[in-house]
Amino acid sequence: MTAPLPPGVSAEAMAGTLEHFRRIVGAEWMFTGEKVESYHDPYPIANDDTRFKAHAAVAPSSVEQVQEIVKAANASGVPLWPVSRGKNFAYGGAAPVLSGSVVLDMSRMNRILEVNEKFGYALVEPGVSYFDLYDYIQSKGLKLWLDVPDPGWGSVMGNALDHGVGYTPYGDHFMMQCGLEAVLANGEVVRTGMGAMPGNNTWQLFKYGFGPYVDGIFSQSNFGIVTKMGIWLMPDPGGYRPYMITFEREEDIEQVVEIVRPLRLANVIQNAATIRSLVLDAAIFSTRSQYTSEKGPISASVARKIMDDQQIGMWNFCGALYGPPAITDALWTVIRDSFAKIPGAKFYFPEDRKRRPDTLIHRADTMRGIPKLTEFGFLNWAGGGGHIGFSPVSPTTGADAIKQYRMVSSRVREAGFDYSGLMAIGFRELHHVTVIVYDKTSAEERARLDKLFRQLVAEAAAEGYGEYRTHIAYMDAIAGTYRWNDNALMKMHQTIKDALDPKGILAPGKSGIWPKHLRGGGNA
Amino acid sequence: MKLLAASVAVLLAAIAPAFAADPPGKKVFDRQCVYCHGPAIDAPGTRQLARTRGNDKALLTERKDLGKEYVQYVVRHGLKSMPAFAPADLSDADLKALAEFLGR
Repeated sequence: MTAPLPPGVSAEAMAGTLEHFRRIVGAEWMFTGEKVESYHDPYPIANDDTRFKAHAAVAPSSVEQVQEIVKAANASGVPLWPVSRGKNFAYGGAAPVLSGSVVLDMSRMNRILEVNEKFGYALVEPGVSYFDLYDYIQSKGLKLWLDVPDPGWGSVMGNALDHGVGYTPYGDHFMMQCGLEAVLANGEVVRTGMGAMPGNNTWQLFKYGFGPYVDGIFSQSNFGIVTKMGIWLMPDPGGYRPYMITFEREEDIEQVVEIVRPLRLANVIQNAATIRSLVLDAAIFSTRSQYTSEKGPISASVARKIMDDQQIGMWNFCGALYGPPAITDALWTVIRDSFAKIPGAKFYFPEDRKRRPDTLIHRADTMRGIPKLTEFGFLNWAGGGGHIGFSPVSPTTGADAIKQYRMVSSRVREAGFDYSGLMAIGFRELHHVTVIVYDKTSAEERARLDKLFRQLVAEAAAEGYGEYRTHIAYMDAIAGTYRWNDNALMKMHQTIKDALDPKGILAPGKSGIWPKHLRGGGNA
Repeated sequence: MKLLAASVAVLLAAIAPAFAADPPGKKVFDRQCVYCHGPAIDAPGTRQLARTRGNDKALLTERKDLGKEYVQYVVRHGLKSMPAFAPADLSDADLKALAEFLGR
């Protein structure tokens, strides 16, 4: 397939720009032709093969090289699609929204610049993965814990900037971000917060500095290229006790969430715990063909069979206690007594689990910040390997949880997929992450999924539920649901975009934000 | 004395393999592949290969049937649920070493 060109960029202009990039980074780190295929979305949904395809990729090794690349792109109008490590799978991976963009792959900028045990933070470059940071902490014997998402190969910075979550008390990654450095579209480098003051020593200690707090405009955005970021790390809590509580009935989710809210608000539930559905947990270590050969969503009798076989429930609450036994014992008493009100609730610690491999044993690693890739086992549930997350946010109320569950699960099942999801517990809200596993090799299934996803977005928005993060194919659709007061927020985004990046070279279309010359739709 | 020297020589010969440096490809495997394709009971790649190809073909490091070119192709293009690895993350030199380590 011929490499696509972005709108308004001639083949000659692109060739000249790539030659310029090549001189900046060296020929070895400029990728064209077949090598660009590894930047395609590994889990595509669109059946139009021309969408979301990069023209080339360039991999700088320093901030100075990023600056030079940005200046060259600004001169020619070639759009860049910056990625930290390109592992944002199920959200498009390293693939750009706008075909013809050049991926700016920052994997090589992978220095851990500082890990501070005394204050509990790290300062990292974009290419640092959770595995890298974990190994570093272990090798130095530092008494610090990471917070990790399920896939450990992703970028610490990239995950936080895309508002990713983990499962310890530090589970809201962007909340734990403190200070960053970004290259703007004109090539200028800025540091936020206390980093703006020469000689200051609190860049990773105090978020706000003086004046407007701007770190947020570099998250899920295309206003700059973040090249350094501070992230707070949890001190070793001095004790750890993971647990799982299983519930028998679908409708239990309502009561479970009502119990969760006050416990989480009061920090009795200390971590970013999750309420995980039957199929999500079953899929990590088994396949649907082990339990049924029936087509379509699994039946109630098959669900029962899985529950009995794997010692899991229709819903499984995975949480953990952090601290010395005197603290965790007291917290556990309250948690256990609260959930014991639900008929059929079963309580487990790791030592109660006999099956191997086992959900709680696996989640126990994740909830203490050990990076893994185990969760990817669910991709094999139905074969075909594709997956996407639909993730509306709702208040932590039982009424919202059961409404969300019924809305989404009924549509997912009507479309012929199994419902597989989790409710990630924030302080005051739920991320209802529905993971739809599909056969990425089937054009029919991808078309069915696309129709389903758009329907889910529209129906959720009609009920006031908005997604927190999405795949590159749905950024315009979801941005369009945040339209209060005649799209006032998007207009503000566009004003910032036009001011910071007037030629629109940074990640056109990211989060639905297009540069002036590409607004009006139809560019993705 | 001769006996002692001979004994030392035999001993050194016996332990030499243990001190031999790991091939470069093993280092790449341990950094990039082991989380899915290692021997851990919950490694998803190993588990899926056991299901689809059988237990004797589940562990990549024990396979005798992987061609070097095939290894390189799969890493750069992905296969089923496995995503591709981009050249900035896993360089051509590292990929060649990995193919030497896994391929036959």
